[in-house]
Amino acid sequence: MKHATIGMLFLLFVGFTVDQAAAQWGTVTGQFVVKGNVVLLKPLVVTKDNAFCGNQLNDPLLTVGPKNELQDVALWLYLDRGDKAPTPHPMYAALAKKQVDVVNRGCLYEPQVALAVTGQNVKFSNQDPIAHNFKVEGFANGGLNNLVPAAGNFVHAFNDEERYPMNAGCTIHPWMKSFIVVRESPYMAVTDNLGNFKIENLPVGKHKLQIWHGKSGVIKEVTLGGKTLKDRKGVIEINVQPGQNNLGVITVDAAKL
Amino acid sequence: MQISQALAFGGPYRAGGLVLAVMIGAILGCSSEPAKFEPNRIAMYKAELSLGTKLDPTYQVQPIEKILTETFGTPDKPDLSLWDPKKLVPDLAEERADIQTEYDEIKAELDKALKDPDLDPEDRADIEADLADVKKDLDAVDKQIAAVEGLVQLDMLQMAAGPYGSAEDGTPRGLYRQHCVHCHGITGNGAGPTAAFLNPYPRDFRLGKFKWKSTTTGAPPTHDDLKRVITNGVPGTAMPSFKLLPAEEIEALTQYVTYLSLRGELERNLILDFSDIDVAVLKPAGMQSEEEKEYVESLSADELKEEQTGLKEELAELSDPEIFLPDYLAPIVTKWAFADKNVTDVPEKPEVVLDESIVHGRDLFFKKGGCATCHGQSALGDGQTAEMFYDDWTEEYYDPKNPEHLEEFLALGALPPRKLQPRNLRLGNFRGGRRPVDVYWRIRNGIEGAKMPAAQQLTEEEIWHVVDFVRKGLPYDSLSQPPEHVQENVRVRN
Repeated sequence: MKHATIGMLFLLFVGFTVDQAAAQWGTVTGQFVVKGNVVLLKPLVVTKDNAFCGNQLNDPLLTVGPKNELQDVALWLYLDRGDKAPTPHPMYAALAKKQVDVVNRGCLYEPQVALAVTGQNVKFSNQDPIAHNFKVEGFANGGLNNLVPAAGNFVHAFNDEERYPMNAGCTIHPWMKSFIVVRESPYMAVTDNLGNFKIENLPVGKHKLQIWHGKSGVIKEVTLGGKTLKDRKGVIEINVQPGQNNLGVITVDAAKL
Repeated sequence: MQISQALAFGGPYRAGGLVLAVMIGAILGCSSEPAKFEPNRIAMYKAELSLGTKLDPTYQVQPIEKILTETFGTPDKPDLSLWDPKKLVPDLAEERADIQTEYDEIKAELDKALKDPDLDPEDRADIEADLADVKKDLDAVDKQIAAVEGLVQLDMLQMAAGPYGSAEDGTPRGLYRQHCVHCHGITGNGAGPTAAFLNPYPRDFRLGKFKWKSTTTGAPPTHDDLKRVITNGVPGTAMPSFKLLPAEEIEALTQYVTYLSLRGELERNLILDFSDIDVAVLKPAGMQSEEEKEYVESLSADELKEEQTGLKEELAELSDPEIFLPDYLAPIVTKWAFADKNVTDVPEKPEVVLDESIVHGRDLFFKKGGCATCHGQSALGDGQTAEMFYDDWTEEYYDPKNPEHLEEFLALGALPPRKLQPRNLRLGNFRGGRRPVDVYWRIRNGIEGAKMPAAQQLTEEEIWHVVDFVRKGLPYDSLSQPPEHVQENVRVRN
């Protein structure tokens, strides 16, 4: 009986703290748009398996929407040396168990920028009728280079955080390049085809986000809310309020891409 | 070095040789500069390009060199005095201490019991069994610590380091400079004086990547892997076999190559982290980029001072052995010390009829294995036509998509990039060795640093078939169709 009471009290206590904490989370959204004339990259020249891949492919390294919305900008929580990442919102525990998919389709990668937390399973699959391989070059993580036959796949987990996205490429078809972001903290996002991103349930307070794009590396200059922010590491500081935090349009100068 | 060459004129020219030697001595000065490890300027420049600013010599470049010298010593005098297992593998050291305490307790118990004349033999057996169990644990931990301590040993490094010669007791000195340095360079950067004339280029050890090994992609080679390469050489390249050296000297060279690799990896990681620290506020005005200048000017005097102090503290912390040993050196050392864990086991080769196995192997070569996509329809290594085909060592400084900085890297000592060639399998020549097990490892694990992927999709049996096909099922060109030599009429040509 006594145990039951203590247990109930404990449950109440846990319920209370979770509830209390729920008010302390904020979701950050925003949209990346390129200012100025976007010069699209030259098409990729297919040098192999032309019968299937065709002769030319659009280079997915730089993809913009109809109004210059910038796709594949990655953002992640940036920590100064010695700082500890905040305990993530409970929703991320389940997400970390989900598998991240990186797919070869039509002699390109989908997605162009994949996000994974350390230890999360990444499934590399080949949906093409020809063999591909995944050569992933990590800095903290050991490299990886596996052949994946037509319709094959394999699963791998990266256990160490990478400061910058890892390159993933196919050595048989060297034009195929993509990136994998591996971070310990799940607070990260990549922009969709309309340049939108969303980082859910950050703890309320000040945070630093590092902004990166495959073409430019870290984005050293952005305009946010009419203010030009410059940082050589592409880090911006945000103040997260409870609930929704829309940063609005974040512009990147076309010349800086 | 030059002096001894001059003397070799010998005979009637001896006097001339001596005069020449004296002249060279007079010009160079009798004591030449001690050998120095070259900083990894390529990695530094790469960091500078991505940052858009120069690294600061005082706060970034020199501290890295200082840490490296403290941790590894110099080419003449290797120094491992900081390599304390308590700092490199603190968990293991602690575990060992705990088990030792337990062992001592049981031992004391046993000693006490043995003094008791009425001791029950069964009790005695129990205590002894306990003691034996704990001893086993102790041995297991000791073995792991020994792997860390044995990775590089000072007496071995001393044999390989320094100028060529011998110690007073006759043990050799300077083996690395005697046998390796002209290709691999003092620093192990694969850019010794002869490097540019060789194809393939000598290995740059500083990435810690090696091709001919038994471990999976991403893992360092084992001690035995490196030793095998030094002993057997790399057929088809300029790397000779050192089989005729005494075992101890090969051991010394193996450890020295490991030492240079560990040093190179530590350096790269330090460059990455030191360059990540924004030292704009500490830089002399002339060194700052526009951006940095703007930033520093935007600070008030107090802010500037505060930032400077904070930054100096941060840099001092990074340069503290208490920090850099566990944070930077330990992960690299443990990776190497326990490389055995990543060895790919090779199952016994099944008994098969060779001709049948070759037929299976050929089928796999073209279909499931995907080998023909790069090695070509006739295995001549002509299947890959892409332009962007370079190995990892080249991609350190050369991005075929953005070649605009190549000239600058070449000026810093990088070798002109050469396209990677898939191996022509019809030469009967396999760089990583032609034993079945060597070919098995290449196919199963791929080739580190090159483009060859790991054939994880093939079963063990299938890999053995491909091994048979590659080793025995292909015609060797010299035997099959030697190109006919046609005498050229020089007069007609001219």
